[in-house]
Amino acid sequence: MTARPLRGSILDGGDSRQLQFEQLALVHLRALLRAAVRLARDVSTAEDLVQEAMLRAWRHFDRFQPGTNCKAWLFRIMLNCWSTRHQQIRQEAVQFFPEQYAECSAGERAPASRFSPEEIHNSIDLLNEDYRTVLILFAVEGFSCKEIAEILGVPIGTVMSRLSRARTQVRDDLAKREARYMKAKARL
Amino acid sequence: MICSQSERVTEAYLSGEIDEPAWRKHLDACPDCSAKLQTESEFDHLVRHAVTSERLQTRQLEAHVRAAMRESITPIRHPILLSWRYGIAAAVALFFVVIATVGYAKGRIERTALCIDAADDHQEEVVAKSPRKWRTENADVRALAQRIVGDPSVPDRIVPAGYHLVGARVCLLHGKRYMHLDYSDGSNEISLFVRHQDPSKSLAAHVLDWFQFPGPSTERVDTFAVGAVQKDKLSLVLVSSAPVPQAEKIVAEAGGRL
Repeated sequence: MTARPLRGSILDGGDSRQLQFEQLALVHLRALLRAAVRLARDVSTAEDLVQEAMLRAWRHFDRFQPGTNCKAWLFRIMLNCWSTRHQQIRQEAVQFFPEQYAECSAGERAPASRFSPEEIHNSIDLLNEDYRTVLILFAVEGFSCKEIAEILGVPIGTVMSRLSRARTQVRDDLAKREARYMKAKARL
Repeated sequence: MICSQSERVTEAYLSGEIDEPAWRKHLDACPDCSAKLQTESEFDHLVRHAVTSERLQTRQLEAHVRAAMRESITPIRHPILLSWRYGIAAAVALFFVVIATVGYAKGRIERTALCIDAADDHQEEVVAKSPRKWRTENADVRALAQRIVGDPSVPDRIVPAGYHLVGARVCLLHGKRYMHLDYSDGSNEISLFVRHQDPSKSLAAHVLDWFQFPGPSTERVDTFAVGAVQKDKLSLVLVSSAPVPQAEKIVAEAGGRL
């Protein structure tokens, strides 16, 4: 992602550290939110998560080594925040109900694809969290397997196998959806 | 999938981690790998398109982040920097503890030596009346005070209530020049030793003086009560055969008038 024009620095005096943070880190806000939404499967939780991650990054910005991948550093922070939160969410027994994801009608389908974005979202959301994370980081955010391995702190072989299984599961789920859709259409 | 290479290498190729000519050559020749690569690439594109097409409002979130950053405008510094600062603070604290300990010990030694010298001088010159040359004329005493302590009025200022000046002379206490003033109330005699501080003395000497004279205090040396006080640029040592509380009172009053 390229740095977009700044909307305004934190201080009018333009403290260099803050400007640097804005230019290196704040520009990845959208990417973080996008991944967080898929991770949390809820926009409000995702926004909280990104805000927490951004503030943690800001507080520890001295730890970031200039010249290294700031986006990867931010994702690592966000995923650590998510791991911590995930424990709390489990304790609060918040559950994900797949049936809340209604199938889309034929009219909503994207012309370039057999599946609408919502259907693909739903299939991704059904994935195990480990698989979901790897798929988003690889396919959407463009991280390499090596970078993902560093972000998640797992071997590169694990990343590759998770990615492969994630693809397979999403593909299978989409195939099932399509079969159901075709069946429903045939009845009409 | 028939090709043994495709399963493992496709992700690495898609993420740009391998771009070896041998692998590209293999891709051209291997329909399995080529098909898998094509499928995975299309699938990733599909996922990317679906996820990035989701409309997300970030303006409000960005505003919240900026506001929260403003609230925590002083960020936590790097732990190494913190520990470095704590290290410096600890070293400075240790330095002052060492200075205080050494200064206190040295100050106590100097002070005790001074008190012993003053008691000896009082015993020898005032009690035992050893033959010494005393200045008794008021003008001579004032001239001596001007020369030794830099202020001719000092002998009159510090005279204790009920006492009068008997005589004055110069003496050495613990290697330093003092003005020895002998006062009497008619039945008892006391000695007050006054010294003007060296204006060019070092910081270490100032610190040592502070430990030597942290405040008015009196102690017993042999049969005498010896008290000392320091104020501004003058040091005063009292030797008296009076009880310690009475000597303390004289020291405090004289110190107040220094």
